[in-house]
Amino acid sequence: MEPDEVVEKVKSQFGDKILDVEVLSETRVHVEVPKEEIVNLASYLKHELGFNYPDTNFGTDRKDDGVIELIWYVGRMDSPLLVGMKTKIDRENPIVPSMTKIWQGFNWGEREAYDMLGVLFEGHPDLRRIYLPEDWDGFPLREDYVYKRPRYTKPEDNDPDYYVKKF
Amino acid sequence: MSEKTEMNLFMGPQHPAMHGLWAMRLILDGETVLDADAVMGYLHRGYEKLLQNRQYEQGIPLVDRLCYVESMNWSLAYAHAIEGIFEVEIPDKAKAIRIIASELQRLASHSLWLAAMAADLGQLAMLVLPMNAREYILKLFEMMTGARMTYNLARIGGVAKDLPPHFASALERTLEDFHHKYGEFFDMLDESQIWRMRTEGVGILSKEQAIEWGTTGPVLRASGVPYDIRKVEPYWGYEKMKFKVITRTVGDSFARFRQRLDELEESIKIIYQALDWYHEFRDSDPHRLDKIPKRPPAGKKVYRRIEAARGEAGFYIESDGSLQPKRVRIQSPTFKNLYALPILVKNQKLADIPAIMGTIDLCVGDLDR
Repeated sequence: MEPDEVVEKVKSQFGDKILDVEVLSETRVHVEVPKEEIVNLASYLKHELGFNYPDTNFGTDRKDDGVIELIWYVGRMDSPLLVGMKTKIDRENPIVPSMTKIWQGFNWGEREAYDMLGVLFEGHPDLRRIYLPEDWDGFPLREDYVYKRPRYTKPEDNDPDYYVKKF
Repeated sequence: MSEKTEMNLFMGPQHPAMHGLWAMRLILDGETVLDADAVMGYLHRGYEKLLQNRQYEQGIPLVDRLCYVESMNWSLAYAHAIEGIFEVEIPDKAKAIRIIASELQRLASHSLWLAAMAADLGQLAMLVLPMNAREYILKLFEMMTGARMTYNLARIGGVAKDLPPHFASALERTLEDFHHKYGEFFDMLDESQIWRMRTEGVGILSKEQAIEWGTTGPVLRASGVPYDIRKVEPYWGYEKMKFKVITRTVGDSFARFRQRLDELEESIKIIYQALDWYHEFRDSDPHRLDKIPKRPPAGKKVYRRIEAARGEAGFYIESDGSLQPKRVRIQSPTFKNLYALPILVKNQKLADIPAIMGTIDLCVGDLDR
């Protein structure tokens, strides 16, 4: 399957709901839709065009635009073409429908996106942190994340006269 | 005792001195696994953030450490993706060297997998034989790069150096020897009744499940899907190499074991062809370092993947015109394959878990990233 063929079919199905189409190379294409349409696009790609293989998914924080960009790559077993379904969500209110009902294999990838960017996937069966501890503060791949080193407090920090008093 | 009893079991090594750790929380009824949950992150180093905060070429020695068992494939994959960003085409000689290096790494990785899996299942003689076979391949890498584990051979626009003199004869000798040892692996395992009893019919992954769960590499092919990036989306001149995409149909542990053994033979065939191809370019440069632009074009996005020993190893890179990438996403094959494991071990016996886990071929380095 060629990228142009997929783009044509998706465009005829969704019309002006498609916000953007990027053809990265002969085998990679990004299709951007608003987050309300992402489930429809996903089920169209899977059930009508046969993209049944979940490849990878990830998010990118774009602080300047105030959005988090999410991409799910899906493929077919008979072609090298990967279609990236793209959507942009509000950075302050990052809620997006989960793709796990359509491709089960995105389960851990979405958990990772939650872990690193704090994206909440609606309808995900098991949305927990995957790498970091449950009580970790903040989301490391956000651009404004500041790593706070777990601090060892020395006795003189709390009491400046600690050593003076001792001797 | 007829009432049902449940037991929670934490299975897996957890010790700071062990390399690559992960664990499973199991709920057992007697010896049957009722539920399983993977626990990971022991080795999480934040590779994506690390790469985003370094210049492109500074990332290459770093991704060498991503998976210590097949560092060659990872650094070549990263260089391959960066070449997409910089729009560089590498010389044919570098392609031939990359194919040789990548396939040798596959031999070494599969050998280590076989040693680890056989030892898990109590076949301790097979701990030694593949390790020994791998040692000679590491010797070749030592000739090639000067290092045994983290090679730093990849460069943007080619490879760091040409193959050393006498490498070709050493390679041919080693491969001949490896082929002989490979026959021993068959004698010891494939014809062994005990091995077959432990692995046949265990952890069956159907074709539909393998696709639906997004497994990749040998795990996917052992379930009957002929999806190999080297054939589907050839890179570095793999389209010139003649090899078969091995598939099995059953999808159990034994199929995944045979899948990897059969792939070894195809890899050896590819190395011989790549060596012949390499000989066509005796006096040319193995890299094109002078033709690389200083800065990449802004806003370019590239997602390229290669077939590593465990499956597709991919990098999505986005540039913003500066010397550092804006976003790097690592697509790890172990991460995709391991997703199947907690589902596969359900309703199996506890003692079958090593037999299933072994054939997934974990590398925690690239699982945790």
